[in-house]
Amino acid sequence: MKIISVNNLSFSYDGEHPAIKDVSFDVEEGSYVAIIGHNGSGKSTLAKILMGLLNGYEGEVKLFDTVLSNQSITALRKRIGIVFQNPDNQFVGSTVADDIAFGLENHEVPHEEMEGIIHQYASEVGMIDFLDHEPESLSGGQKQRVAIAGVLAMKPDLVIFDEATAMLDPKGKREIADIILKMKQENPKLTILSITHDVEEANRADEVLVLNDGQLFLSGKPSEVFAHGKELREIQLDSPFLAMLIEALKKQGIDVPQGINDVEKLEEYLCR
Amino acid sequence: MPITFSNVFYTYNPKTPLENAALNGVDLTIEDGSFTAIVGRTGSGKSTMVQMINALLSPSQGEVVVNEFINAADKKKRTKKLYKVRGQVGLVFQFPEYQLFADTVEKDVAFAPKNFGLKEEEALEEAHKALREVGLDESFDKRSPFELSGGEKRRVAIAGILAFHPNILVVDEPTAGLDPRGAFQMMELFEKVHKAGTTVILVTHDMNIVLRYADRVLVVDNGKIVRSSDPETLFFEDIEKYSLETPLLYSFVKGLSKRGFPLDPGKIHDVDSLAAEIAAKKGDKR
Repeated sequence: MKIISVNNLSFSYDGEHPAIKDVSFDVEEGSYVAIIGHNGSGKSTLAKILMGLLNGYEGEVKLFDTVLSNQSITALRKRIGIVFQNPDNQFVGSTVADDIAFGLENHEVPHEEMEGIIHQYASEVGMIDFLDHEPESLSGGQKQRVAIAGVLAMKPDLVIFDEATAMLDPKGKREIADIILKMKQENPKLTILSITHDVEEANRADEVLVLNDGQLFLSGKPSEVFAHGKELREIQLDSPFLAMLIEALKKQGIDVPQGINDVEKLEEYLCR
Repeated sequence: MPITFSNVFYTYNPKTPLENAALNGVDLTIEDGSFTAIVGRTGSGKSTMVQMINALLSPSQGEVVVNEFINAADKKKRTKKLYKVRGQVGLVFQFPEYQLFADTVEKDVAFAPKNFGLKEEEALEEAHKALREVGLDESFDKRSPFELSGGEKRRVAIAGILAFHPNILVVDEPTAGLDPRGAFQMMELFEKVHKAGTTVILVTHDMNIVLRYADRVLVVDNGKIVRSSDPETLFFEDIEKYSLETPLLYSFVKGLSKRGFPLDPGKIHDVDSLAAEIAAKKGDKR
């Protein structure tokens, strides 16, 4: 089943300069798709359209096989969880437990059930020891983990990460990337869309879409997309470490076979 | 003259229940014209150290010498008018864009040189030079700093420091919150300033930046310098114990060596040299 289906989408803020130009793609249930592109590439605009925050576009957007519209958005939003960029802007509780409980309270989950749910998701994101901590005592990465727990507690079918790691230091970035993979393992039907600057995170997705100048520039499996190192550099995007090393090895006459899609496999291959 | 810290201690809120020892005997020397990275976990004492370099804080014990200025715990030894060190040390705080205040970009940047004694026109001239240096053209001069993008604001704030030509530039997490392209441009700017002869001290969490730009790295842990080395050597050690991330390049080399494929660390500093070294070792095996 297609969770997201975007067909010939175009959008302009001022009616003159297009921010999105004729973009089409599908996201299948249970897949993890990363959208990369530098500032001004159109990825934030695309994210806003998918979240139902921008109207007046051309083309069609379907979420869960339902056409996105002012009428359908309220029902659709119940199935979508969003993790935003700034960890400080989405922490609403006075403690970690309160923060995770916030969404549950809004959905009138009985109090008896709430505690168990809070524990379950706090442990899933590795924050179980912090339940009574206040937000001031947490790092940016920890706050984002709490935000993820709050989102997961609502049992969404689709989680959108809107540059959720952009404000974190490298350690925080890795923590979040690890949790995304763990979320997938624990719930294979969960669909994840991550709009990100972090090519190392994108390298671990099932599929990568590269936006440039409002258009879809490249798409495919990470190993396919990042094999286009030269084209990516032309639009000032880096490749992940793995792809850069494979390219450098090729220059040295070592051809790494396709299918080597993580660092450990490459280590193994080289040691043969 | 180099920067030296001799047995420096610093305690926040001494003799109160909030007493907190931030520095516990720091000794270090930073050579003129070097590019030094200071790394360590949050709360390790990095920012406290940096604030002593331009005398925002004075040691509780020991002394910090910067050029001809002595910032000592002992007030008798301390240089008179110590604040003048700030004309030689430019300190760029985290998120400097929050410190903009003037109604035009040029006035904001001209503030410091004016403050350090230049006439209005001279200060504006320095401001324009600094703005061009950070890559903002004439069209920015008369605009309000508050209507600029985040990356542009940060450039204005940095121009405000460069405009008074400090011979030491201290930058605290300058790439935080920037996209990779913005971060790259920012670091290239500091590299340019460094090449022009300025001593650059960089506080960062990003080890890839350390690897690419710094010639020396100081690891701070628990208010002490626990390691001082060149980045290449440091990253071959176990740095996770200081809560530092090993750059992917080095975790790969370590991974290979665990599998019985050791490489010569001295020859590796980027992806290309790593590939060349792997090819050479593979050649030996054959």
